[in-house]
Amino acid sequence: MGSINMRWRTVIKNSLIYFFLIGGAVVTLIPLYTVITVSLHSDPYFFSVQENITLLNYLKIWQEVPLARFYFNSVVVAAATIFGVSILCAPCAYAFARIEFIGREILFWMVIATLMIPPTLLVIPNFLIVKHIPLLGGNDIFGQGGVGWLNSYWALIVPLSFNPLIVFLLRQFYFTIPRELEDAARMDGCNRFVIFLRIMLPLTKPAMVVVVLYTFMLSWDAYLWPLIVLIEERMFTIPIGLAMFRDAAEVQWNVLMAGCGVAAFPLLVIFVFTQRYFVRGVTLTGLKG
Amino acid sequence: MIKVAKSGQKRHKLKKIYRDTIVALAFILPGMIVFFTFRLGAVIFSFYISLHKYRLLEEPVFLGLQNFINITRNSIFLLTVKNTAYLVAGTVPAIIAISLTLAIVLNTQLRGRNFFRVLFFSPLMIPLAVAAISWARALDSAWGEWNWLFGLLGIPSQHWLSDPKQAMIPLIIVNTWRNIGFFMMLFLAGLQDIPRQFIESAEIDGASKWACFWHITLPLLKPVLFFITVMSIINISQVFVTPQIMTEGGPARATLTVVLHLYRTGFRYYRMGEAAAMSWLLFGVIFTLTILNRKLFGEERRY
Repeated sequence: MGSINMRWRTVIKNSLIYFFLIGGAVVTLIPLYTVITVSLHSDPYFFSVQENITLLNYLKIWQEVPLARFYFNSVVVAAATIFGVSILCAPCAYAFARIEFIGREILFWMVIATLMIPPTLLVIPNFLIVKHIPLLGGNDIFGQGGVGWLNSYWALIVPLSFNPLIVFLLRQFYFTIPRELEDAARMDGCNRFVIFLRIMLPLTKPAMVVVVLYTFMLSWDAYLWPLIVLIEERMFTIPIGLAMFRDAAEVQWNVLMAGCGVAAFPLLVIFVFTQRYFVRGVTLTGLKG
Repeated sequence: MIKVAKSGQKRHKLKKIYRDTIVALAFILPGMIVFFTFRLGAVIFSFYISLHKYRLLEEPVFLGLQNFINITRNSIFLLTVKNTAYLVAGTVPAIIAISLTLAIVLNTQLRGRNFFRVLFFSPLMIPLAVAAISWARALDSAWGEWNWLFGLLGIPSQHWLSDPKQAMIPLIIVNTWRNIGFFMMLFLAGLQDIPRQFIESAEIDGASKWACFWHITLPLLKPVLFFITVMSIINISQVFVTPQIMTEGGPARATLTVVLHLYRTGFRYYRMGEAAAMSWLLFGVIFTLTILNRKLFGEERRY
């Protein structure tokens, strides 16, 4: 009797758990559901009319806004930021981990201290710094007279290319590589640069994958900073461009939702194939950071 | 003899350090230029700006702490602080309760747990601006999916986005939706750090599941819990995208958050000095919370 009772209790408990999990899943998927259903309808407002399913909106969105241009901008900026992070953060992290140089402690301390600074604080000064970059964008040597890096890819790429959190993370990874490996390579006459390129980088590939995905996510998602530094429509990234289209007088929900679908699609696909790394990245950036 | 050898060694070591410093410089210089310009330099510059009347096309005028005094007396700024506090108070407990529950449920040998983990994490993969547009449609009072659903259930239509009293609710929902997956993963990592023997031995001693959770899991999870509390407060207190896109701070400034107000002060009215002062006040609050957290719960986990 008792065991039957127990079994029933387990069944009820499990079905309750699944009930709530599936309920949560439904709520989680609401925006995606909205995007799919609204974008497939020819009527901009009502989605419950089943007859009018169409893919036309996915064509329209490319004509009504320069979505291809926005896409191109977002991809260029994300790729360049990943490149920037790789060539700026990884060497820094290596030097902090393995080379004993004058001022290492104080420099590393300063980098870590800025981890505490919220991004909001950097927005105002960085706008002015970007505007007054000397000798570029029509500026003179004192950074006056032009627009500097405003309305350019540089403004989106360069400030995000040094990420203290990534430097900290990679440094932790370089610590885990046995020192003997490096010593052996030096005995064979390798210099630091060769060691870094031929030993450190290949051995920390998983960490670099996390860094690349994390940087891509940050760049693809960025909104406030691009909103501030971009002026002309042809420079807009996807989030800025779609938000602008929405603000335009009449909201064509079905076309707009098609745009949202196109914007969300790449990262979701990448995520499905790489979720292992994302999960590792989260626990690393979150708990160790 | 020995002395000479020692000083020779010392000199050799010193030489090595100098040589290493030059090598290190090649490694760190590009990164440090960006760091000193757009991070450290920006922080110092921001402080300088906050002490001045700083308009885009005018010469800055030194004001001392006048900007800080002005904004703390400004009723709109105080309203944004209140709004942000409301948003934090609504979102952070929801995030923590839901993500902790999900983490505990998905930490068991449940079938399909990986699927659910990935699913709950997926909102982080959609650009927030895009998700906010989609949510704005779903919550739209005239043709949103939510009201259609409510209609089927016999609940009257809700005008969430256009009613000043309710406009914060959609923002709470969306920011919770966005963040639970991330914090669930952090909780899961924390739960997996708890040694299994602890709970097993307690169960052998006859403790109930609830008692195990209350007396073993939760106390051991405390550092993670407080880390997550602070981190989510820091995140949510800087909310910008959702009010900017979904409500534009309205109706009647009901969803005007600190960062949205800061953005408008700085980049619509170009009052950079005041905007910088606001960001320092925000940082002050966040910093105090972090230090408080370190002081109260900073001790290392030891088993």
